[in-house]
Amino acid sequence: MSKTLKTMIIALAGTAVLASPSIAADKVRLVNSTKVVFETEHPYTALEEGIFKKRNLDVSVIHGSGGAASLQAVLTGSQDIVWGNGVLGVLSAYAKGAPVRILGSNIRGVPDLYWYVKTDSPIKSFKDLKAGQELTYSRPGSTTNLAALYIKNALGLKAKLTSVGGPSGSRTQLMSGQVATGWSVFPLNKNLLREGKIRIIGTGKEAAGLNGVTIRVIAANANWLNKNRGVAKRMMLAFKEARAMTYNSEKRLQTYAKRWKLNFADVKTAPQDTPSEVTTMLPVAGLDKINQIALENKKIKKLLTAAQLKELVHPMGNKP
Amino acid sequence: MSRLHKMPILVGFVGLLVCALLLEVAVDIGWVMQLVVPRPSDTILAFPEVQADMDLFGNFFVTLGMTAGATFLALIIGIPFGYFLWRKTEYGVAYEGWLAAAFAAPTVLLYPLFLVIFGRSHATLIAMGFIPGAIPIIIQTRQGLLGVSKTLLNVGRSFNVSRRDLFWKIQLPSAVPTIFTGIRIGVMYTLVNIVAIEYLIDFGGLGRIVSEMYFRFDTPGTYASIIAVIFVSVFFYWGFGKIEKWLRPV
Repeated sequence: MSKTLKTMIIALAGTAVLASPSIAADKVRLVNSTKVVFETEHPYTALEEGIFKKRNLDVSVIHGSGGAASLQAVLTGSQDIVWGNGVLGVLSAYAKGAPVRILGSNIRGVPDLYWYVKTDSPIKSFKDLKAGQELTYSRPGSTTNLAALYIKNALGLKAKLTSVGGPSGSRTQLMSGQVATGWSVFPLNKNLLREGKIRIIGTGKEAAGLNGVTIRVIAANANWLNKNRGVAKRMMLAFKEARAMTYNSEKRLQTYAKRWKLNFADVKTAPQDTPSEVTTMLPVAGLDKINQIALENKKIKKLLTAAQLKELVHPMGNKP
Repeated sequence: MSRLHKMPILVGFVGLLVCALLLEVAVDIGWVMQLVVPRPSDTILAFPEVQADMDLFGNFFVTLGMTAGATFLALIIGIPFGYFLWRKTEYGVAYEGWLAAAFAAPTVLLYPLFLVIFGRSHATLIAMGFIPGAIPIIIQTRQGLLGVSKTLLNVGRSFNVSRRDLFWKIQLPSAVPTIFTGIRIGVMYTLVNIVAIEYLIDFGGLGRIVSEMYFRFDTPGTYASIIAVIFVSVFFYWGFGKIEKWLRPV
């Protein structure tokens, strides 16, 4: 072999080695099912603090317009993982044969929901609601509907459950005097609280029957999960690390406030409004109860079996 | 019905059937995801279930009634206003651009404002259906009257017909096709807005059922309720076609 040829081969081999990345990062498409809510911040922490990168993950984060649309993106395979989706929706989709699996819990119970009135209202707490006065929720079958129902039953209220749409629609209808109460989720509308325009009459913690029950979850496309179990496990570990960082870092809270143009004063209590102990990714708890609720709300036609419930949950990406 | 009239209807049905069969096969062999688009046969089978669960038939009439109410309002306000803009040229010229701009605006996004004014009620649905319905009727009424052939008017004048007769016997019949184009566009926009608001605020008729089925991931049920919306649209299209023919038989 001539000297020139040898030199060329060595040069080409060197170029090839230098040009190829050492190990290509695994690409993951994440859809965050909502905006502003505190727990939606954890994926951003993982992204911006290099936690995904450290675990060799190349993650794209987009926002869906609510649970159903976000989950649909995962079911059709256009996204791999959905963050913060209502467990009822996931259960309902799974029951209809959709390729979806739960990887972990986002929140157990609904402590981040709250109900409020105008400051000059005589209503001081849920118990002051009289027969016919409106205890509001977003839409039938939603988490807020469940919470309102459980609060009503737990406290023996005579109030009328009324659907008002999302937090902004709720605020509009309360402020214009159409309904007696409004609902919101921390930290939304906290500026009105700070300014003394509204007053909290109770939170989702009073929906005692839902305490300890997983309400929102992290879920993945089952086909993607089967092919990328190792990636899913690394994603869950990254989320776990990011969650801890969001809870414990003022810098992250400032970034959170900046991202959603919120006043820092309104978000600095987020770790207390959404206590850390209910947002750990495990356990995925109370699925039997959710199964029953899903049936009562016609989300499923018959109860899922124990084997189906077991198949549905892949804790931290591990096989059940 | 003549053979000539029967043929296009038959061809239309055959075309629809072929499309449905192709879709059935495409879903069966997995070209189209069943979670996104159901088999047409599953959609048909979902009708009794949606009826039993959500009273599809009753809600069909709710949406039909809301659309009829909003369209009626759009007609009784839109046609006289269009006539006024035709009679008063300066106003017509002044408002034509504004009306066209308003027609292009996504008025559906104003629903929170209407919720404040009318509450979460049928009045909100009718008001939100009325706006996009009235605008094309106003525009097309004016356009229709402006477009009446001068020859026809001159013929009328040569017979010394009164101004009233000139309007009722020449101008209006001549403008009817254009006015009905406006009405057809208007009623479709009215229906779309009403169903969209029903979907958004989870209130009323078919839009609420579409939303409920969608949130349950019941794809055949979602499509069954969408087909019911199409039936409302077909009803109005057919109905206004009949009225137009009655007003202008030739």
